[in-house]
Amino acid sequence: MRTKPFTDIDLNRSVGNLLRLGVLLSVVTSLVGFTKLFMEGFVMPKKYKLLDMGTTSEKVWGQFWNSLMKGEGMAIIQLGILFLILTPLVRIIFALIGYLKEKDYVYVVISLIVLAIMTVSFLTGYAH
Amino acid sequence: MSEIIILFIGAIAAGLMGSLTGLGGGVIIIPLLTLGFGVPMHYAIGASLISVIGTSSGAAVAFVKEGFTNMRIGMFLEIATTAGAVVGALVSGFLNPNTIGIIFASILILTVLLNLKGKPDHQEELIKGSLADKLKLYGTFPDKDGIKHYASRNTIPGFLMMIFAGAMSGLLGIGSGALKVLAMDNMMKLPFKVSTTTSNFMIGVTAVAGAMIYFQRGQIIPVIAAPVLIGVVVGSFIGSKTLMISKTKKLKVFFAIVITLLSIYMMYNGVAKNFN
Repeated sequence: MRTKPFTDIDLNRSVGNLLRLGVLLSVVTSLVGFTKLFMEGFVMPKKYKLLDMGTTSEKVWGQFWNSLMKGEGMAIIQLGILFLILTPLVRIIFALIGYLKEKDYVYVVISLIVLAIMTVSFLTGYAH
Repeated sequence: MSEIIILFIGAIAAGLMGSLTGLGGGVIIIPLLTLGFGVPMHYAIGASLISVIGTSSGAAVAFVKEGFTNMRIGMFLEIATTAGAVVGALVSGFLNPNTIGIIFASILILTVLLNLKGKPDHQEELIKGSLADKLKLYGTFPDKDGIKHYASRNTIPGFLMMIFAGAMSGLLGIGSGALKVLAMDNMMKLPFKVSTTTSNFMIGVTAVAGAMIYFQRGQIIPVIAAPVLIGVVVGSFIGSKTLMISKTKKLKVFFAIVITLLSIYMMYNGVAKNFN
């Protein structure tokens, strides 16, 4: 059981570890994806435009899940990229929990506002 | 597969250069991908944003642990940068690649000028009852003479400047580190070490706000973004290890000239409508 009060130093330490873990997980996953892609005999198209991942968000996500279920290299790399995108988001949630433990309610609200903007970003991307 | 290796090597160079100049990898990777490799502008921005998240998160680990990063100032200003980034990323969807190229070149020149100017190092006392006091925009950092105290000034102008920095990040796929430091150094009068590390800390979240929109527009291409990400992270790491040796005035001027030529080249290609 933790008996010491939760301080900014604890928060700094857990945020630091989280960021390191997120980047590592992302890079390792991407490398696994590349190995798989290489074994599938991937050839880079002459025109980069042919690499398009879909024109609407539904197509992007649909294609991603489909490809991931089949264990394709492309989707595994994409998963690595999504891990990286998630890292700073989890960092904000960590900070939010930290501020709750410190009973710093001004910063609980500020963290919630940042999370709300992130949600808006996700949803406006989705509506496209 | 050889194209991917070339992308990867190019990204290492961009990360190294970005780290040595203090401009960040994005500033070099966008011209390299678009004009060097013929990658469509929006794919280049998507890949650059991903690499920006990687370098920011990677570097932040050390800074957060050293105790220079002010997480409260960072979190408060992230309201501004993320909101700006969402707007920037949405606007970018409507702009043609040549227009983005011209805006990029202009911001690049501005960044060079800001970088050349000597950076002020402030250390302000807290004003009781100010907005900075209410929002706890103050802190301490370790120094060789003991613990130093500092507080923020001009909270509102700083916040507005951060909205602009965020918008440029979402629009151009860069970290906008120079603009963020401008807001924190010149406007909010924070100590240099605090503003640089806190800015780096915020860059990741800001880039995520933009990246989620590019991802769902299908503009983050795994086989471009991932080699760029790994390359830039590796390059910045090498750069951060050699930073001590290269911090001379002459090198700073040399890099400034290189980046200025690069932005003129980007401007020319934008006007000539060479981006795709």
